[in-house]
Amino acid sequence: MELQDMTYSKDEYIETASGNKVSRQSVLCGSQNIVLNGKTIIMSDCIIRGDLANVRIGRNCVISKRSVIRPPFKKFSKGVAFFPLHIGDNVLIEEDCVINAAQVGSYVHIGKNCVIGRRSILKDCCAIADNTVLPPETVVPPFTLYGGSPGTFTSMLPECMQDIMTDITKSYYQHFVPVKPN
Amino acid sequence: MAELFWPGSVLYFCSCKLASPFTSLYFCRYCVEVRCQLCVYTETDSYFCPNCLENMPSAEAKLKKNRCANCFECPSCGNALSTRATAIAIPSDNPEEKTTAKKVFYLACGFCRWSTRDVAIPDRNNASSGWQEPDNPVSKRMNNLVDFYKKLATKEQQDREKLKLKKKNYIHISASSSFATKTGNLGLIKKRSSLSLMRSLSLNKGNGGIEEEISFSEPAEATEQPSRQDLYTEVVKLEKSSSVSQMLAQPDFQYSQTCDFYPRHKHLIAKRSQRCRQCEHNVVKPEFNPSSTKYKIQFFAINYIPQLQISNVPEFSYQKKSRVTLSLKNPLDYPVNVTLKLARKPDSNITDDVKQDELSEGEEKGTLEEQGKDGIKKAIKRTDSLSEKGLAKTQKIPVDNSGDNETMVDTAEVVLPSTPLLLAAKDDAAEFDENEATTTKYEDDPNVIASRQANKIYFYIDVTPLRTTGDVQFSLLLNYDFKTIPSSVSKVGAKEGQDEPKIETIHLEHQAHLKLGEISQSKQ
Repeated sequence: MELQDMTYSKDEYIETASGNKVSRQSVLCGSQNIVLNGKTIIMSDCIIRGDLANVRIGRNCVISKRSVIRPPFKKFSKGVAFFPLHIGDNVLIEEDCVINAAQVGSYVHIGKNCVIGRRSILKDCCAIADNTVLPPETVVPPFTLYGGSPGTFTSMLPECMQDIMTDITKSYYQHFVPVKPN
Repeated sequence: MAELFWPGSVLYFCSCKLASPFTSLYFCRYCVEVRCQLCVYTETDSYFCPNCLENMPSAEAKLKKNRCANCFECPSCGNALSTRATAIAIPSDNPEEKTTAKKVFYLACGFCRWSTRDVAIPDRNNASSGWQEPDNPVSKRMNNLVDFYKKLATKEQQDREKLKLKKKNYIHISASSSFATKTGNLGLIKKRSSLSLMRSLSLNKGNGGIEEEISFSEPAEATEQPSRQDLYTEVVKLEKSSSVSQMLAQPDFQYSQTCDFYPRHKHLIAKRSQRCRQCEHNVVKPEFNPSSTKYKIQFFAINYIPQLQISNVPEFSYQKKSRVTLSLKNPLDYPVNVTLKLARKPDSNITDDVKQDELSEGEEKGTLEEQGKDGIKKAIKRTDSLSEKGLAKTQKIPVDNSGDNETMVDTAEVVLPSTPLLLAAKDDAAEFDENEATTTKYEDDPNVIASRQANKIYFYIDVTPLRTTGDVQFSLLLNYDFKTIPSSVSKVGAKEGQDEPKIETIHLEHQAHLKLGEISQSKQ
């Protein structure tokens, strides 16, 4: 089943020259430290904490409603340090997630209501099931689905994961359309 | 999640007649056939640890029982353990000197806060080593048994060799040795001499090496009072006893108390390649590096077969025609003409519900069987033509896995587009093309084709549900011409005198089963 058109009002979203669509209802802290590489959708009530460290988000990503992207910190003997957060291309993050990872690869799907622990590394072509709590410093290898609480290896993913995710994120962008004027 | 990666609304039939989600299918370019998960051999390419992503050679993995040497998992929750360093003060022997600090290491879980200190495992001085797994009490017996069977295997091997030797009695060892030295066949001598050595060894030992002493355990004596009185008196502490999943995570120990927990080495996972069962060519071969997502060989159905998807579905009501929008995407780099046909002829006479149910099931079987036969005939026919061209390597044995399919019944009358659907070639640059000229190139009937997007078309079909309840579903056939990939011809069909690899056009037919969704109940 293909995606159906999702409509938004033109006033609510800012569209940049490179095709990013960012909701006015989202909170982008330290926007000078946030890089969106184009055709990325950031929906309403998202929070991106660019004030803590650099956040780089690749092309064709979707960050759904009420998700929080927050660079991870590490405790040292003298205080804490924040690390930059990189998200690859064609990444779909569903609603109500908290992303605290150090790195999210390309072609990754993160289900609804997930917590990605501090300094986790999500490699390319992996997926996180809905309602997963991924403990801090977890590594998710390619072509694996992690789920549960704590998030553990659940199953392997189809080998053509890259094509699937490219298709999903591209069609998501195509179906995310402004309301037609009457 | 499953629907995203293994979409169940459109199932494609493999060459073995099993219907599977499109994403789990492969396309063998040598056989020019769809291959499902049952039609490929799965081979393990390499093992790696999911935590540290380090490769492990298969011999080493076997030795370490498929577990990583460096990574541990929490016995309580299964999460990866991390090494923590801390300093402890060691009181000095000399009372005048201050206490000295010493760095020690322990393992802790970042999720459930379990640590090796909880279960009184002493801290280590070295960060990387020293976490030996406890010895299993039965491991000695296990090793004995393994040794015993190894010996037994060698003995059987020897006996077989002896038998062979007896049969080939005409080359006597002593005679042949001189013959062998003359002819320079030293390998033969070596083989023979090692054999005789083995024989002498076994003779020396007799059967003593193989026999095993068996000691029976003493039967317990029946008493009035059970031996463990504490079971009655002690209060059960549920928080200190382990759960079933915790016990099963350590099958060889199955600790019932949490205080016995011990960190376990992390399980390895494997990189796998798939091989076609028919021609034994690889259909998928990943790169060696564990964190790489690239492939050396990749023949996914998604890259070679037009992809059918359900785009828009209206509400269905019984015996009422509704218009469904489907989409078809061409993954090939040349334009393709796809003709759609119904897989089974709909029986329009059936209107009565109960009758229909009974009838269609009976008929279903008949048609399926017929189809199966047809399919096999076709397959054989095609193989013949292919083998004439030198394309197919071996004679195909038709495999039929259709029994594994869930019931696939046509529950609707469907009107498909009668004209062939022309799909544009796949063009990676199309998305960057600002002025879309694709729509103007084709003269489309607006009653058939809804819209076009580069190599994808959206088209209408008319669906009339024939049942009052359940899923609206039907099967259809996709027909199109496929151009063989030149290198495949040159590789497989390389005969003398055939130097120019030719691109051949083969007519392909795929069957797909569509589940359009449930019929709405309210409108009856």
